[in-house]
Amino acid sequence: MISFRNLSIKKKITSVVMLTSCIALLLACAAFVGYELLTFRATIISEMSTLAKITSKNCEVPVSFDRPEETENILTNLSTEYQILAACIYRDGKVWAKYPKGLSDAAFPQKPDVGGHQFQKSTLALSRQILDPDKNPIGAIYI
Amino acid sequence: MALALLTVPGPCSAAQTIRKPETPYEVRAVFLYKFAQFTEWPKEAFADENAPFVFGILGKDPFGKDIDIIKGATLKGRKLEVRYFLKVKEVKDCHILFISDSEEHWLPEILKALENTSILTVGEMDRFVERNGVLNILPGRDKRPYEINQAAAEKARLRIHLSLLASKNR
Repeated sequence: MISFRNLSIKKKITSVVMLTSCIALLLACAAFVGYELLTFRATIISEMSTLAKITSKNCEVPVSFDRPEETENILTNLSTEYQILAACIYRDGKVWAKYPKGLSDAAFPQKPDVGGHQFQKSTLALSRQILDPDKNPIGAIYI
Repeated sequence: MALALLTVPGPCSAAQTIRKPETPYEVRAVFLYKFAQFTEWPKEAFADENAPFVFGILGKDPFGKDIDIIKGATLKGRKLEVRYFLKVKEVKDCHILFISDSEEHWLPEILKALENTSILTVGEMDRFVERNGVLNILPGRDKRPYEINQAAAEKARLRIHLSLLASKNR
């Protein structure tokens, strides 16, 4: 095996340059992946937050007027978003309407972290408050 | 039984002053409170920024003490006031007017007198919306215990939330 000491000056310089370039490239890749991961998470939280806000707005009247069936029909519209696995509306502290309709109440947390979000393995869970026109909380959405 | 079908829970954690309704007329009062939340009145319907939101009852009062459930609550950032009127001529600065059964005989005259106002007229009688009332409470109905005369609402320049209109309208 040829030791580094026995290499010619030219080869030594080439090796050092190659090694430095590789390390720089690896660091750049790691930084890029890290940045992408961070921005991807921020983007997905923002998108889900907007979706939760729109769905909450659409559910204002049926939640206020105690119409769970109508609320579930609105939640069913989430089926067009393939990445949404499940969603529910809490009212009086309980799971009150859900998507998919057949899902067990136990599939949802008993007390959602309203206003917060959580990454669990490869999924994101997010919850937002539902307000009436006077800005009083009347329920919460969990996606 | 019929009244039980008009189940509208109170704003619970919402407006802290309003508790869950228990009696049929508390249910009606809370229902009308919520209905008003999702209805827009023209700016001119209020004398100024601090003017209260007035819930009027015309004729024999069927609510009695049950109306207390919404007394003192705030609606659209305004204090909700309940006022009682014996004659339509007395009705002034009112936003929701519950027309009691006792006035049914004079209903055409009452609604005629309120024609150019922005008052959400409410009744609980046969053919109320057919006679140009805006909102008729139908406690016997299962899903949507009310009917709306959309044309009358538009004439009064009231903007009712679309989800509330999505019932059998006229």
